[in-house]
Amino acid sequence: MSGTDLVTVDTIEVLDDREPDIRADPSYPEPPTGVRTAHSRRKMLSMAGIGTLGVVGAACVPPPSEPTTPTPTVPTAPTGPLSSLAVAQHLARRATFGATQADVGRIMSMGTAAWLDQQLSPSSLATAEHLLSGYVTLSNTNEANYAVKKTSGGVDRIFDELDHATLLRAVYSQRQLYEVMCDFWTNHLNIWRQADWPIHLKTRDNETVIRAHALGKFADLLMASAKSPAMLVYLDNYESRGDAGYQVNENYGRELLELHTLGIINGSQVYSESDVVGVAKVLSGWGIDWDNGSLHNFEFGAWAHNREAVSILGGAWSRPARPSWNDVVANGLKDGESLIRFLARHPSTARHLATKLAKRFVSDFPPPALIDRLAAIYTANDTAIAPVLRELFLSAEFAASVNQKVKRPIDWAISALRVTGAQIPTDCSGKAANDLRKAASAMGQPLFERVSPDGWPDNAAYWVGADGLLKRWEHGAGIARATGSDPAKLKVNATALLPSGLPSTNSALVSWLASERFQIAITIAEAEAICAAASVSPGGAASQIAGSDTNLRTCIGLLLAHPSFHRR
Amino acid sequence: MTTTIENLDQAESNAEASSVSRRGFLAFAGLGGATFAAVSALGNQYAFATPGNTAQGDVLVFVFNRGGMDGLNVVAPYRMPTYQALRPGIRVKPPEDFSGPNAGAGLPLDQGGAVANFALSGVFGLNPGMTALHQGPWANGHLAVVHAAGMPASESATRSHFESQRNWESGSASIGVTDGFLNRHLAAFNDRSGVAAVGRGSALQMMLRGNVPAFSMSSIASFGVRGFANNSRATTALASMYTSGGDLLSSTGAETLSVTSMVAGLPDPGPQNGATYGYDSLAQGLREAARLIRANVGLRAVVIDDGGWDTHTNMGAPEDPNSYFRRRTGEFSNALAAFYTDLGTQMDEVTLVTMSEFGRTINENSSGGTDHGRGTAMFVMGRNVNGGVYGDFPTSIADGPEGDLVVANDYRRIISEVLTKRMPGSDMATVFPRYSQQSVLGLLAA
Repeated sequence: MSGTDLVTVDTIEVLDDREPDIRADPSYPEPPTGVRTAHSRRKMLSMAGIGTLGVVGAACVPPPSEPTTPTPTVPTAPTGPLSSLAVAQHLARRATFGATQADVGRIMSMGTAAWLDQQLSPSSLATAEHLLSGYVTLSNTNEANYAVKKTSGGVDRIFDELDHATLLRAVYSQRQLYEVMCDFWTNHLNIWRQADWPIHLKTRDNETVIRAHALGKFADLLMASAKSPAMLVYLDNYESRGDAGYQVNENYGRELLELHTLGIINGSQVYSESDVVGVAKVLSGWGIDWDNGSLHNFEFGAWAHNREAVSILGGAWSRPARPSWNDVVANGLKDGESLIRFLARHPSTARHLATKLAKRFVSDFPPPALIDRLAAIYTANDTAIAPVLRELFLSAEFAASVNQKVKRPIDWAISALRVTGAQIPTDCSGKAANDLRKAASAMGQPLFERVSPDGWPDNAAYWVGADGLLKRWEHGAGIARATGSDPAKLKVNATALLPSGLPSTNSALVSWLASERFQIAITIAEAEAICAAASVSPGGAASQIAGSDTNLRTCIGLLLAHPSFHRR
Repeated sequence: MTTTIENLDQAESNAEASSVSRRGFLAFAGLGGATFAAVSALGNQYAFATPGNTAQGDVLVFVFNRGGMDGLNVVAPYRMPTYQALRPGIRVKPPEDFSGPNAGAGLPLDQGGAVANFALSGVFGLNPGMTALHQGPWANGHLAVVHAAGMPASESATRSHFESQRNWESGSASIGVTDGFLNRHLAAFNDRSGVAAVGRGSALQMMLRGNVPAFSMSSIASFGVRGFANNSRATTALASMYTSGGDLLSSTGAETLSVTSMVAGLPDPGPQNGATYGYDSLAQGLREAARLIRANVGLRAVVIDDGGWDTHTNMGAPEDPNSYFRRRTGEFSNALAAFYTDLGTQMDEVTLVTMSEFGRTINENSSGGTDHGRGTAMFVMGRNVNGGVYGDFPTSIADGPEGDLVVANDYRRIISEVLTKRMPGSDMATVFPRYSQQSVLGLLAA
């Protein structure tokens, strides 16, 4: 192998005259430009013609039910069984993107199990898709999005539509657990969308891999991911060559084992370095179609497939050598599909996924007994996710984990938008969308921009830090002060959060807002401190806050900053 | 959107890295079982170790090259036949490969001038993109290099980004060690008032997590309570909600509120001594580190991430100025050299160390890149450094059974020397448990 043999599609060598014609993609390769930095893509001018500037709000998030008698909440440490309210709040904090008063009320009226079953089979629940009219790139083929990408502003349009659709769905869809699981799998099968030239590919992955299988079977999800052009590019498999004279690229094979399937749990792993190479050999040739008409779709390139016999995990999975071209054509792809299914069903994968789900939904330190049960259910249901989630949310371990999780920045931001009934303009490239995008970035969790394949961490040790808290407080203040005077910006109708009948004092009003609208408990001393920040006396008439937009918004901003609102 | 990709490249160790709650063990008391008891016991062992020497010492700056830096093309053994044979497309070439002047040759790491004689002289050349580091700190004898560094395979031979970063930053391959080595080191010093430790970025690096308050900081300018109608009053209210002694969330909020006023409004005289920083994340991080060092806010340690090293594809030929890897190394070199120039003689009291989770395979792959390997190169920079290339290096490198450069030098040997000489007072058995101290390499003066 010499330097001139490096694989590039536009100079690719045809090593076997029976191989298919490889057409050059005129855009490939776009050589790495210096560091792998993001395209400096953000422009503030709006894109004409994309979407309509609509405002959604009350129509999508049911207005909070009429308040009953305002009663200040004095929190007490739970000592016995949780009240039905506490149970509902706990479930809503974990299974949705932020517990609203309406969510909690719905769980209490339906009952926990019935509400959960509805969320796990959510076809009867309203989506947020009606807000996404004009977001053409969401349904475009890869080829069509490639055409969009090549237009002026095309990359921004693709990113803006995906970002804002993700946000609007998370805030407004009634299928909350589904949206939460879409986020979970987005991180589990993370793709940095700017990793390489085909930055138009992540959208299809989002719509047809993640969203298509988020509550389905993991085996199907993994197969779709393994054939996803975005993943094949992100982890380099599309240019891995296993044919004679080449050394396979191990990147995807390694992360498939470590992150997507078998995992490394408590420092131990069941696979070896030779398994990594073996998997990479079996999957060599899984690549991209360069034909017009199916441009940038998945294609098995038999010409690049490694033909050696491969044994994985000491022979638990194996295939014979595929010495002839006909053998590779007939069996090369099937071998890989068999391997993917084997990995999806492996007990280590069951345990790995059970651990990650328990870390997401129960605790940063999930109880081993729960993990054992979840793994068994995963296996018994042939990798189906919904039964695992049902067991998890109805478990005693879950019930015992109230407030043990800290929200990630995105969790916090979406929950803030939900509890304040924020009205988000649907223009994906407008001011509101850009403000929210910048906020996510400033807080350290920009959507689809996690560079490394492990996805965003989901633990307090990573997210709780000085900078992160300062940015959350700042953006919470910003949400609270979103008066909507500029119709292109976010709007929070602060007075709509007030009870119909005011409690007697400022302090009591702040406590009521906390317990009813934010679904958190605060102390009397904290309520008084918030009053002081709003320049009113705690014992003064509640109209001093309720009648002053500035004062009310100060209170809302500080409630969004309260530590209890950063836990879930 | 101002996404800074290098910041995001801080890969997080997935599970075990998170299993310590800074100052927050109590929060999880009773949660469950033996695992917790074990973690707590270890945590208590490290918590506020014996108060030691409170001498000021240097400011220590750690740069983590995230992604697995291909040390063989940063500090290239460019005359080794196996290196040349196994990297036909991407190897760094020695000057004798070129007839006449050519900017594409590796930059010799040879003894002479300000660099005292050393055994490995003539073996290595820096990537040709690294002229700034070569002409500045190296020529002045203020840059030390240790190659084939890493965690010995006897403790962990992992090639996982996440496992390996966890190992480096915790200082051990044991998953029972859940805080960072640098935090445990800082725990030995009493005078930690102010902003003693800063991790550049929006999340704190694992090596800084632990009992000693350490502050993530994405920029000096944005480090404050902002956005409220009255930020001063809001700060008071926040201080009533976030209390020291609470759990991780609560105590971190309290610590943060206690230092924002020290950072807000720091003067920015701009880089000194003619230094010019690039706009990349590492350069900007070092520029702000220099500002904090000058500001006298009690700074003792800074950690900065530097991404873009996971080069599985298209590294390019080093003699091509536009090739990816050459540009990446150039940016890295420029940033360090700018920091060195900016601080000038203040580098008497500043020591910078670079590290990466692993090196890469010797053999280049079919994509013109290299896959995960083992040993890699570390740099130590400062005016107390004795310039040269230190440690062991194999007399020949071969594409071994796993295609790697073996770890010949335990990275803790390098860091231990820096800590004990430039900020003495901690107990190395606490900082690096399970590591048996080896003799110093002589990288720097005490």
